[in-house]
Amino acid sequence: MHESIPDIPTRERSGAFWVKFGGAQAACAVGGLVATGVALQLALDGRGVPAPAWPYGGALLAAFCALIALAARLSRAGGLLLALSEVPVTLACFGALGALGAVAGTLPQHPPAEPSLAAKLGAHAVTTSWPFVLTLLLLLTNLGIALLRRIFPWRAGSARFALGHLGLWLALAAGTFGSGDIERVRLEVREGAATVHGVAPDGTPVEMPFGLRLLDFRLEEYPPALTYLDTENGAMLWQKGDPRLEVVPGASGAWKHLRVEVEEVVPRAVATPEGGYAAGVNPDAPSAARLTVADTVSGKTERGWVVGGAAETLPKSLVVGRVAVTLAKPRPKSFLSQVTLFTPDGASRDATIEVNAPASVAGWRVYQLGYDDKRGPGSDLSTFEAVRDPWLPAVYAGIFLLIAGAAGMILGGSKALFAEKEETR
Amino acid sequence: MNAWSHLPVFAATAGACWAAALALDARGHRAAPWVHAAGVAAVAGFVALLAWSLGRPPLRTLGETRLMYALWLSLAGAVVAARWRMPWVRAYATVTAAAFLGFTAMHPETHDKTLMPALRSAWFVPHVSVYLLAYALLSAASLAGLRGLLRRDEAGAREALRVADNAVVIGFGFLTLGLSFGALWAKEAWGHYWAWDPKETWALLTWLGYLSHLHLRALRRDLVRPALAYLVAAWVVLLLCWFGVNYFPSAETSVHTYAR
Ligand code: HEM
Repeated sequence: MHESIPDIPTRERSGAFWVKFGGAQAACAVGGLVATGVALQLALDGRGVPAPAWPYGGALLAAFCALIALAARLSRAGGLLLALSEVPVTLACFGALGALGAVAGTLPQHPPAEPSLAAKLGAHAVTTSWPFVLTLLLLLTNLGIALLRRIFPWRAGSARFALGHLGLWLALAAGTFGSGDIERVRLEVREGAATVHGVAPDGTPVEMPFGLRLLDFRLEEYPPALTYLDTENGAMLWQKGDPRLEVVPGASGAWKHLRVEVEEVVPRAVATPEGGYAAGVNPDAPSAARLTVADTVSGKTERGWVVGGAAETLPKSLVVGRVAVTLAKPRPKSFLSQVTLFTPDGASRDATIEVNAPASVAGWRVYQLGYDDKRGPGSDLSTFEAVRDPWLPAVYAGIFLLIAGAAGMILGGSKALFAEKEETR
Repeated sequence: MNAWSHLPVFAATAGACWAAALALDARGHRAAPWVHAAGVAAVAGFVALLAWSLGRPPLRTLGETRLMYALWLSLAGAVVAARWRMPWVRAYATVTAAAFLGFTAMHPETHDKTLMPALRSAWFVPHVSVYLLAYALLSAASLAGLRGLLRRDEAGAREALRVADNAVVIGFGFLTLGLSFGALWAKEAWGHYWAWDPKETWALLTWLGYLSHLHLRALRRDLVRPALAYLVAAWVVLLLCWFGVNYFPSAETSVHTYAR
């Protein structure tokens, strides 16, 4: 049965239903909380929990911390507040969050076109719905009181308990109460131009505290691959998982009943009067390739040019039976922007921004987002996303504590984790 | 100088050391971890040589990535095996690492095959490597759980749970590392550390599933068979997360289904 830990005050575990607070009572309490959340969802006509911005988010967090500290102090007398800090509540919350998370992981998480009961209940925005947020707050309360009880007074095992638990509490609390302060702004700049203006996700224009000039945008692409279309209805016949032949000179391969050889590849192709293609200078022009395609069923062989569709060059395919062979749009291999960043104090510096390598300026991080993908390598437009998250240091501190706790688990194993439990057996 | 031309020598050295370590392991010889470590050192030596000749960390191409998998897996697997006397973890990590290494040595065309931009991050390889170890350990824990359930005697079931518990704690440690590295990578690549992408959500549910097991064990040491049964059920969530996500309606918006 449940054994109490020495030197931690315990509760009376017999008596009426709510006095003996175990798994069943925790499940009822969390179930009631989720039901309250559902009722709020319906009463507010499907509006989820608003994310408070600074200073309200910070004030709410401060009040929340004060309540947790008070509850931890009062829990010394035992009773329901002590029960609030115990593992049954943790497990009930995990169960509820798991169930709500399964909904979030299964249904698309964006508003559906038609209003529906599911949408009203928050099934398409689970993580901002009332049931989810209320359960998360209960989990934070549970963990917060448990933490305070385990580290005041400091004793053997406190450090090990604190690493993972404090880490998770910090990351969760900062992530939750700080979510209203995250700003994401989209910036679009053409080569040679500069901007201080961006657009928020809801479409409102935003003036940034920094300026950005695009010096150069560069895109490198993979060689184009062959694709296959149905000549009768234009449907794409090539499917994910089929062999993919990259068009480089000398390449050969098979797809279904066709054998393809690539004889010649011309980048930035322009049509020649003789009916062939030659390399030009226009970066917007697609590649052309001369192929031999053999149909192994009918025994027919076709030779000719294929060209990917792009500005100022007509697409061209090679037809073999019912199949048109042509070039698919090449995939981007890498793209980067060379920029000058202007800071509010009048200074400026050059930076290279690419995917996975954002630049930091004036409290913002600027990410490479995209480019004009109709033009591909010829794009002179680069789009960026500037992100500001003032709570990030707290979240990161939490994540790094969690990492330290995880390393401790890998090296300490279950004996260390459950040490006190073994002693009390 | 093209450092890649030296890979076969380093890879063969590593492979020979690892094969010898596995053979020594089979006989319970104490030198096995050290011979394995010599193999890891050979891979580390090649990575250093490559980084020096490239003038940057080798993280940008398919070949470079596979090389780093070999390094991470053989290293982390050896640490777990040495700490916990679980030679099978080293065997698993070694075979996987050797496969990555052999494949890279035999396919020079992958050396310069650039990865898609979002995958080019210092967090990518550690993220995947620790997940590979976490899944292996948690799967082993669930298999141990299944074996315990099939035992009729109470002592046998208890012993199976003891073995499973340790594998869960270590595996959950790696799962937590994987989740954390993933969050740090997401911040660099997409601007936010957590986006509730379906793949992320299911990874979190897997994590919650095993976290619940740990807390259940802390709460009720006396429940043995229910704990064993729970471990088997948690494994189903793990497999669902691993293989199933792409088939859910939510997957249409996932950024993690790279094949499209
Ligand atoms: C890194 C992940 C975590 C690990 C390894 C972990 C492990 C543990 C262990 C072993 C105990 C038993 C300690 C004892 O009773 O002496 C425990 C207790 C507890 N855990 Fe966790 N836990 C983790 C995350 C969480 C999370 C995410 C929560 C809730 C949000 C949580 C809430 C609790 C609570 C409330 C207790 C009871 C504390 C007490 O009785 O003193 N834990 N945890």
